[in-house]
Amino acid sequence: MVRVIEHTADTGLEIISPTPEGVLSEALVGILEVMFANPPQQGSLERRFRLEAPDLGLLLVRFLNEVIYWVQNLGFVPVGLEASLSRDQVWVWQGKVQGCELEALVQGFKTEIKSATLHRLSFTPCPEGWCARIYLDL
Amino acid sequence: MEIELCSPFTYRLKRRGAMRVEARFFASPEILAGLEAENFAALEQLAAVASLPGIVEPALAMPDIHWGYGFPIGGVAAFDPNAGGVVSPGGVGYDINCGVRLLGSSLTREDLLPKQVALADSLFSTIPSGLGSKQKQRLVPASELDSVLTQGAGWAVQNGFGSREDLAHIESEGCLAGADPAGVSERAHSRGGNQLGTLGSGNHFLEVQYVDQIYDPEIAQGFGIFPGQVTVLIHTGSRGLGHQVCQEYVERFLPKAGDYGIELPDRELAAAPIQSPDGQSYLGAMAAAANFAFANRQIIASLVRDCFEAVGFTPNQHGLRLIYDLAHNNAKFEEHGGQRVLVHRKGATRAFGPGSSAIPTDYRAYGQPVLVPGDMGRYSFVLAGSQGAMEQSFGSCCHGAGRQWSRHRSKREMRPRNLPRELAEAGITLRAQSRATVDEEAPEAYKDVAEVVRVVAGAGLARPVARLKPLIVVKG
Repeated sequence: MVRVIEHTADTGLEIISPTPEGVLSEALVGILEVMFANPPQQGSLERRFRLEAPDLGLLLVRFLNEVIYWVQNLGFVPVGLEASLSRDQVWVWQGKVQGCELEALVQGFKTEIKSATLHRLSFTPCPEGWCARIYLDL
Repeated sequence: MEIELCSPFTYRLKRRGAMRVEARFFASPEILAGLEAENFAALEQLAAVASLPGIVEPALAMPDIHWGYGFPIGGVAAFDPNAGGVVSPGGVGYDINCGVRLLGSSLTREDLLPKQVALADSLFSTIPSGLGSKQKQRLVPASELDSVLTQGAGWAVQNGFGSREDLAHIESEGCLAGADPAGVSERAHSRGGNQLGTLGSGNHFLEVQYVDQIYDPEIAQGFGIFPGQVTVLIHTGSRGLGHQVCQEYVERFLPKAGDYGIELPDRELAAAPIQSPDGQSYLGAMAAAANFAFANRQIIASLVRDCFEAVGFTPNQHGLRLIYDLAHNNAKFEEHGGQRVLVHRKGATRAFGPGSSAIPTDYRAYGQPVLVPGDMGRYSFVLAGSQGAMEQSFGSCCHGAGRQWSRHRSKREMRPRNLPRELAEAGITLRAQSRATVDEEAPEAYKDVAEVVRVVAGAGLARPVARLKPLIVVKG
C-alpha cells in the first residue's frame, strides 16, 4: 500500500508492504501517482536496470531518482516491474521495467520532480512487514 | 522551543543541545503563529543548521521560512573555512542557482493591452515549460555545454542571446568563478544539455507585469522603473543538471560524515569541510550548475525579446533591458565583519546595501535590487538591499511568499472553481501546460507576500521600491 503524503510545501510517500521488494514496487506506483493524473496502464517498451546501495533507504532514493530520470529526461514512463532484491556486500535491486513513451497531455502530467530526498527517510521492519517514508522535492 | 523577541520583527533561538551558535529569524506575530501551527518544524531545522561545524553566529531564517529538506527554506548560514566550516549541498538545494530575473520595458500597460493575448501565446509556444521541458531544437550543441558551465551568462551573450550590458546587471555578473565541468557527471550533463532555455514546472514561471505602486521614487528611477511600466519576471534555475549535481554530492558526502566528525541530525544536511577535496569538488560542480542557471535565464530573456518583436513591438518600442538577475539558492564566499565566509542561501537572496562594490555601478548608491515574487494573482515586489542587511543577515533577504496550502489542498479547493477564468476576469492571461499545475499554484495557496515584505522592511533588511501586478502568467 502506498499513500501520498502532503505537508504545505512538501510531498512524500508512505509505503507499507509485507516485503522490502514490495515497498520498492509500491514506491513506483506512488511516484507515478505524484507525476500523472492518469498514469498509463500498458506499455510495450522495456528497460533493464541494476541499482546498488548500502542500505534500503538509500536504495529507495536511488530507485525513485532513476524513475525520475526515465520519465523526465528519457521520456519513458514505466508501467510494469519485474525485479529482484538481493544482498551481498550491498543491497542490489535489478530487473526490467515495461513502459511506454511519455505523452504528457494524454497521461495528465501533473508536476516535475527535482529529486527524491534523504530528508526524514526511513525504510524499516514494522508489524505489517516493511514500512518506508520518503520525501520528494518538487 | 525557547523563542525570544529581541527587537521588532527579529526573534532569537538561544543555544541549546548541539547548537554551536544561536539562531535568529525575522517574522511578525502572524508569521510566528504559522510556524507554531507546524510545531516549529522549520525552526527545528534552523537549530540543526546551527549545530554544523564552523558556523558563524547567527544561523538565520528569513520571514518566508518554511520546512525544507535538511535546511529550512529561507535559511541563511555562513561558515568559516578556517575554523572547520562546511559546505552542504542541501544548504544550497536541488535547484542550484534557482533565481529570478526582472526585465524593464519602455512600454506602458496601455501599450501592451491590445497585444496581451497574442504575446501570451507567443511566450507559451516559444519558451518550453512543463514536464522535463526541453528545446525541440537544441539551442546549445553538446560540445559547447562545458563552455556554458564555465562562462555562464557570458557564454549566452557571446552566442547571440542578449547584450554585453546585460552582464553588469546580473549577480556575480552571471558567472561564478571556480566552476569545474569535470565535477559534473555525465548524467548531469545529459539531463541539462537540451534544457537550456526552458522554464520547467512547479513554481517556476514567466510573468509579464506592470508597475502599479512606487514606494521610493528616487530608487525606482535609479533602477529604471516607472509607474505603469511593463516588466517581465522570469523564475527558473539549473534544471535537471543542477538537480543531479545536488543529488550526487549529498550521496557522496553522506558516508564520509563520520570521517569528518560531522553529526547529522538529518541526512539531507550531509556536508564536507570547505577546505577538503570533497568540499572543493562540490563547490566547483555547484559553480558550474550555477553558471548553467545564469545562462538559462539569459537565453530565456533573449527569447522573451523575440516574442515581443513577434507580436509587433520593435526593439525601440519595447526597449526591454535587464533590471537585475539574482540567485536564491547558492553558496558564495563573501566578506562580512572583516571575515571571509561561505554564505549558504537556500530560498534567500543576497541584498547588499548601498556602496557595495558587488553592486552594479549605476545602482551602487541605492543598494542591490532585491526581487521578491508573490503569487500569480496578486503582486511581486522590488526592494533595495540596505545597510541593515549587512549588519544583521550577512547581506541577505527574503525570496518569496512561501506556500500556506499543500498542493493537494490547493487542488481540492480549486476543483469547483475555474481559476483561469477568474484570472482572466482580473485582467490576467494565463497559459499553462496543465490544469493541475494551475490549481496547485493558486494565489491562495501562497501566503501574502506583502506580509513578508512588511517584515523585512520593518527589520531594516531592505527598502520597498515598487510593486508589480501580473498581466500574463506562463506556467509549466
